[in-house]
Amino acid sequence: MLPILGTRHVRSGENEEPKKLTRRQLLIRAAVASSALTFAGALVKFASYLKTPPGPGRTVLTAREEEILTAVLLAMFPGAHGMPRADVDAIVPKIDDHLAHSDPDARLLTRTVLHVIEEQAIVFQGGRFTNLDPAKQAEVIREWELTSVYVKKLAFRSLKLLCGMMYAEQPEARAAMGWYLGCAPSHLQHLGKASVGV
Amino acid sequence: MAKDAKSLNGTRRIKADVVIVGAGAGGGAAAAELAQRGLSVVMLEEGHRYRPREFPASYGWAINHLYAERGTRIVEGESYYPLPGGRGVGGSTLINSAICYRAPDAILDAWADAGLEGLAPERLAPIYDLVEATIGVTEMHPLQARANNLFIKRGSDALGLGGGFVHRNAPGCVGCGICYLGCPSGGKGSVDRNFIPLAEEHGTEVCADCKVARILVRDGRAVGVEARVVDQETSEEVGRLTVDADAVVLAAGTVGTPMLLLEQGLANRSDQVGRNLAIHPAVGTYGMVDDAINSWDGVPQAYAIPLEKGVLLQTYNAPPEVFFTTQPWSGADGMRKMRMLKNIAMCGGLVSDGSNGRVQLGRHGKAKVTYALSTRDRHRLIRALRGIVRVLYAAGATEVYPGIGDGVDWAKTESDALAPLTPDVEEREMNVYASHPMGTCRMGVDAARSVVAPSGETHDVPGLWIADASLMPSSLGVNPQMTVMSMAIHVARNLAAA
Ligand SMILES: Cc1cc2nc3c(=O)[nH]c(=O)nc-3n(C[C@H](O)[C@H](O)[C@H](O)COP(=O)(O)OP(=O)(O)OC[C@H]3O[C@@H](n4cnc5c(N)ncnc54)[C@H](O)[C@@H]3O)c2cc1C
Ligand code: SF4
Repeated sequence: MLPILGTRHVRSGENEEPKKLTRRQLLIRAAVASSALTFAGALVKFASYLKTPPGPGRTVLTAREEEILTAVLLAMFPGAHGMPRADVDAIVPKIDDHLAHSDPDARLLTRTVLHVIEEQAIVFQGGRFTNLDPAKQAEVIREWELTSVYVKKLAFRSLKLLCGMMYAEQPEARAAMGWYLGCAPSHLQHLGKASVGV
Repeated sequence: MAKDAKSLNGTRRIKADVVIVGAGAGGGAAAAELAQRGLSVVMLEEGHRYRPREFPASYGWAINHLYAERGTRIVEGESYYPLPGGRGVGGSTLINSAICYRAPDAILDAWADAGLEGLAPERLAPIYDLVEATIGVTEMHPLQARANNLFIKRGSDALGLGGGFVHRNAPGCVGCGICYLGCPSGGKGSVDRNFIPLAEEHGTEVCADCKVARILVRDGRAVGVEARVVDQETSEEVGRLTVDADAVVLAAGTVGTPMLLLEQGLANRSDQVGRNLAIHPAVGTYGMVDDAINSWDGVPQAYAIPLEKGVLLQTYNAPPEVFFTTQPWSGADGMRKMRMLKNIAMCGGLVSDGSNGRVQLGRHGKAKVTYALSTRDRHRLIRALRGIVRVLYAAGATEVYPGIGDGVDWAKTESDALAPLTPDVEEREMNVYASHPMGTCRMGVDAARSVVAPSGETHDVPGLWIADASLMPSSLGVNPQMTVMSMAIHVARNLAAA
């Protein structure tokens, strides 16, 4: 079972006295609870996506999921300060291919996180993630990055690793970060052609 | 001659004196020893066989091709840690950092006192000599180390912590900095470059792309294995291979070996299969430096600091993708920070742990790996982080991420960085990493408390031997590959003599 709340655990012997909740603590708990409810709501809705066939040219992702993933990638890596924006045309098929070869749990996790990002934005930003303007999308991503809900943080990190993995292999992104192979900077040419998927 | 899915399609049956399951550190060393002693050996490996030039220096490629379960293997406990393992001819040595240690005498003495006299320091020393000579262990030259390692050395020297360059089995290392993606120069002495070719010179047949699905047992004795031949590009089964053998050696690693036994309920009268897992839990953190460090340039892990008993600090470099996953870097501000990656120094610390984990059968044929971090080990991890913070500041870092918290604001002073690192930091607040799994089929004298006898043969199934990291009776406290290879050779000698 995934533990849902990322609150500090109380070890035996510590703070065993029940305490009254302050107003702030109550508000935090209400927020966490509503976030969990939205999560659950999105999951129920998600069940309908399980039956949707993959989008054109894709093995796993539906057209809708591709749209959400594209928006997430651009919010994570919008291109700024000399760094390129995410090359979504190249990255989305690679992520789809990666998921195609992953186990069913990993596939389900990634797809679920995409739907929850999309739907949860209705509660906190007043619209689906894909309909928000870039500034609001950036806020949503930031909220996911900094969440104190442990399971949410982990789920987001797994999506971010997947997206970051593909982004970091864009030769222009590596060049902008100054990354090179210690033994052979000329390998940067070769990296552009490296197949990321299977 | 090496074989793979291209040459092994269809249904085949072959015969050998010994079949070895898994071509990693233990399997490779055992194969060379057995073959040199005149036994006919077939080695089956789930992953593919690559040449160094085929490694494209790509994280995405590596996790899909060189990592067990495509890099998704985790340890579940109060929190979740990544548990990387290698896959392919070479096993985890394909992706390891080539750090070489002998096990501390105190550990080997404790094992010998528990009845494993064959593993006593003086008995294992000549085997370690052989391993070092075969895999090319040398002292690290500081020129290979480059800026990140030298920066951490500066901090260690300033604090008088007695750190030093590690020994490595990378005689041809040119400092590409990406050992965990497969060594593209071929300079690392992973076992596909030494023990396995040596075994092949003596007649061993290596079959890649062959995932062993079943151990064959007749009249209570192991008599061979059945494998599925899988095309690595399509993940499709293209054949079946059966190997009949007088002895079966499991070397599928700390997770793979107990999985094979658990799936068939073999060698488990003690109910110890899968138990006693140690992982060397590790943490790492970062410091900002004015000058470019280019942590990716040079050997990733070249310098070590014995901080205290049971806590060993070691440098490392995280690839950009892993780095920004642990930091809240996205959006325009995240892009600004990514430009500063070249100014970030990195160091980690591993802990000699209690054996508190377990490998069990999970869903979809995967392992379910659980682990309970003890309070003692959690405190050691916190002290590791505190040590790293001190080293980073002593070396000249201007800001440090203490390794816990959301990572938005890095600490500007040493006292600010140390302040949150108190003994009550929770496991979930740290980014723990399971660095070296060991011990799920431990060796021991008592058949009720261990899986494998001191010889290396399982207590319960004659003809079934184990020669990998799952044998370890306890956590080592240092990087284990040389001990895995040495124990495998010890087991192979007993098997050859049996
Ligand atoms: C990222 C990383 C860095 C490390 N760095 C260091 C280091 O610097 N120094 C050090 O001393 N140690 C290091 N280690 C640890 C060290 O590499 C391992 O302890 C050692 O390789 C374990 O050897 P093994 O034989 O038990 O398993 P492995 O080397 O992992 O080999 C097991 C093999 O069995 C195969 N297999 C599994 N199941 C099956 C099956 N059913 N059929 C066929 N084949 C199967 C796997 O594909 C794998 O190739 C590192 C490990 C990792 C993952
Ligand atoms: S640093 Fe580079 S050359 Fe050296 S062993 Fe690692 S991958 Fe090979």
